[in-house]
Amino acid sequence: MAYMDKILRVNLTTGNSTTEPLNKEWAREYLGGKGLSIKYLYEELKPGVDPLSADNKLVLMTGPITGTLVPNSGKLAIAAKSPATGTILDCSIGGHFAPELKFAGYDAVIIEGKADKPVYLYIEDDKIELRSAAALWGKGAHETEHLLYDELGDVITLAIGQAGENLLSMACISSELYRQAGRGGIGAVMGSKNLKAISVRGSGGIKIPDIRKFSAAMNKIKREDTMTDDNMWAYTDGTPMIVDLSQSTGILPTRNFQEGTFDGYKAINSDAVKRVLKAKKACFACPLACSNYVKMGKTEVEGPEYETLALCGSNCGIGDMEAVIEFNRLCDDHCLDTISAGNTVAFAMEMTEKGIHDFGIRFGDVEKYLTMPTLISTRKGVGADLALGVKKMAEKFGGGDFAMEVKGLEIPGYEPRGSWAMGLAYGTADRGACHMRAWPAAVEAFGDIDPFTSEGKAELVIGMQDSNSVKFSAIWCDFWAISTERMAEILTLLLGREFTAAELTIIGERTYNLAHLFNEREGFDRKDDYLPARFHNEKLTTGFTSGKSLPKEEYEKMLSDYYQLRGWDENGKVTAEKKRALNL
Amino acid sequence: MEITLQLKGPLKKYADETELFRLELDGNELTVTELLQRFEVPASSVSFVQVNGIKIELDHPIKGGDKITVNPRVAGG
Repeated sequence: MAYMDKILRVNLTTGNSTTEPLNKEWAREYLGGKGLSIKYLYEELKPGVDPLSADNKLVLMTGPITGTLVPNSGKLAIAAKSPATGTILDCSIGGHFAPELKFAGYDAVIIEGKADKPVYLYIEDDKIELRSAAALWGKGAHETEHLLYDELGDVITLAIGQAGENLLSMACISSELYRQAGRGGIGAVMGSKNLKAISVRGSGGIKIPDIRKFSAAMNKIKREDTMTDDNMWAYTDGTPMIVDLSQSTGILPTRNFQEGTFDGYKAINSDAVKRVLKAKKACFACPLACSNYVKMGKTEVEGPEYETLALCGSNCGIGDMEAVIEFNRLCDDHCLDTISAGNTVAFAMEMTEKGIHDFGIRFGDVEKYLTMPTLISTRKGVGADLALGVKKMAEKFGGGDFAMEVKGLEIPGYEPRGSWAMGLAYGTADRGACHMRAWPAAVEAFGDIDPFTSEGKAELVIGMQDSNSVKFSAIWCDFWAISTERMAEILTLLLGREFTAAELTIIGERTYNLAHLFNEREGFDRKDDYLPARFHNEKLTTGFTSGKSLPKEEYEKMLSDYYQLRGWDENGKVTAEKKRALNL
Repeated sequence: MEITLQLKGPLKKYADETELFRLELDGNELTVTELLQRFEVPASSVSFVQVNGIKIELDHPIKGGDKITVNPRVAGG
C-alpha cells in the first residue's frame, strides 16, 4: 500500500537502530508529513526540552502520496522542537530524498540522542550504518554532498553546513545542493546531535491497488488540473515573478521593512533572472519545474527564489542580481536560511545607519554584504553578533521597535501593512513568522479582497492554515493550487478507502490545533502572537501602500476573531470543548 | 488608440506566446474586462491588472497610450 508501515528509529547515543510499525491510528488521524511528525514529537518529547540537547528528536516524515505518480509529491517533512523559537517546527524540503526513503522501505526516520563524535547516517534498504563524519565536519554542504556521492555512489543526501555545526538558530538542512528545509534552525538540531548528513538509497517500490486506473487518473489530473493557468507561472517564471507583484502592490520589503517598494526592483525581478537562466529544474514527480538554475559572472545557483530576492535583495538595499546570486550561493553552501539571514543583515544595516550600534555595514554595501554569510555561519568577527538572529540582537543591542520577527523567527517577504491578513498569518503561524502556513497576500494584495480591513480575515487565514496542514501532511508541494476535493479524490484512489473533503478539513484543523497545543505546553499564549511594532506604528510612504499601517487595535481585533473562530479562549488557549471535538 | 499589452507568465499563451506588444484598438471606449475578453483570457486566471503600473479594478476604462499589465494567479510563495 501507499504506506510502507515501517519507521526507522536511530539512537545516536547508543549507535543502535531499530524498526517499528507505523502507528496506523495516528496515520489515520494525521496522514503523514507535517501532522504525523508533530504527533510523534508531541507524544515523545518532554515539555521544556532544550532544542539543542540530546533529548530533542529529529523526525523525517514522508506521506502516503510520496514516491508515487501523484503530481508534486516530492516533499519531505523534517520536524523537531525549534532552537530559534522554542515552538514546534516542521519544515518541508523538495528534491528526491523523500521518495528514495520510501523506496528504501520507510515512512519515517526518528533520530534520537547525540553522537559523541561527528557521524553520518547511511541507509540502504535494510542496511543502516552510522559512519564517521570526521572528514566532512567543517565543510560546506556542497562539498559534503560531493564527497558522499564519491564515497557511496548514487545516493540522495541531507546535509548541514557550518551554520548547523555552529548551532545557529538560522541554520537549515540542504539536499541536492540547492534545496533546503529552511526555517527555525532545523540544521542546528542536526548539528547538536553531531549528525553531519543522512544519505539514502532504496531499491524497492510502492504498491498501488490498481496501477492502470491510478496512472490514467494521474495523467488526466496532471493535464487538466496541474498544468493549468493557475500553476504554470511556476514553470514560466517561478517565484521571482512575485517581485513585480509585490512591488506594484507596495508589499516588497525594502531596507528592513522601512518601505514597501524598491527603486532597484527591476534588477532583481523575474526578467532579470530570465536573462541569466541556464536551465529549469524539478523535484520528483513534478511537471511544474519551478526552479531556475542561473549563472552570472563567476557565480551560479539554483535560485534565487522570491524570498531570497526580497529579503537578501530589496530588504538589504541590494539592487544587484550578481551580488544576490552570490549571497544565495554562500548561504546555501553554509546552510543559512536566506529569509532569516537577509533579515538579520538588514537589521544590522539599519542599526548601523541609525547609530544605535555599529555593525560596520550599511544598506546597499555590496562588498560588506558578501562577507556576511561566511562570517555569520562561522560566528567570526561581526558575524558572532549577527549569528544571534534579529530577536536576540535586539535584546542585546536595542532596536526592538524595528526587530522584524515573531516568536524569534524573522519575517518573510510580504509587507503586512499592505496585506493585513498576512499580519494575522505571521502572528498565528505555529513556528513563528511564516508565509507557508497561510499566504493570504495572494488574494488580498494580489487579488480582489480588500487588504486594508480586519473584516473576514480570521476566517480567511484559518481556512488556509487548515487546508495547507492537509497539503503538507499528504505531503504535496505548495505550488500546486490543489483543492481539498482533489486531495480527497487522489487519496481515495491511492489508499483504497473513501476520503471526503470534509474529513480532510478536520484532519487539517486537528493538525493545526495539535501544533498549537505543543506550543501551549511550552508556555506560549496570546502575548507571543505579536507583530513587530514597526507594522503598527510607522506608515509606509511610497507606492500603493503609501500612508498605510496595520493599527494595533485592528490587529488585536483580527486576533480575537481568530481565537473565537478557532474555538480557543481569549488568551489563545485551546478549549476543552475543541479538544474533545477534534479527538485531541 | 494604441496601447501596450503585457500578458505575464503563462498568460502569454493567449497571444501566441508573445508577452509584450503594442495594439491598435478601435475608437470605442473599452474596459479592461472587455480587453481581456477579446483575447479570451479567463478572469479566473488573472490575479490583478495594472494600468501604467497602478493596480486597478477590472471596469477601469482604457485610454490611448496606456500600458496594461495582466498578472496570473500564483500559489505558494
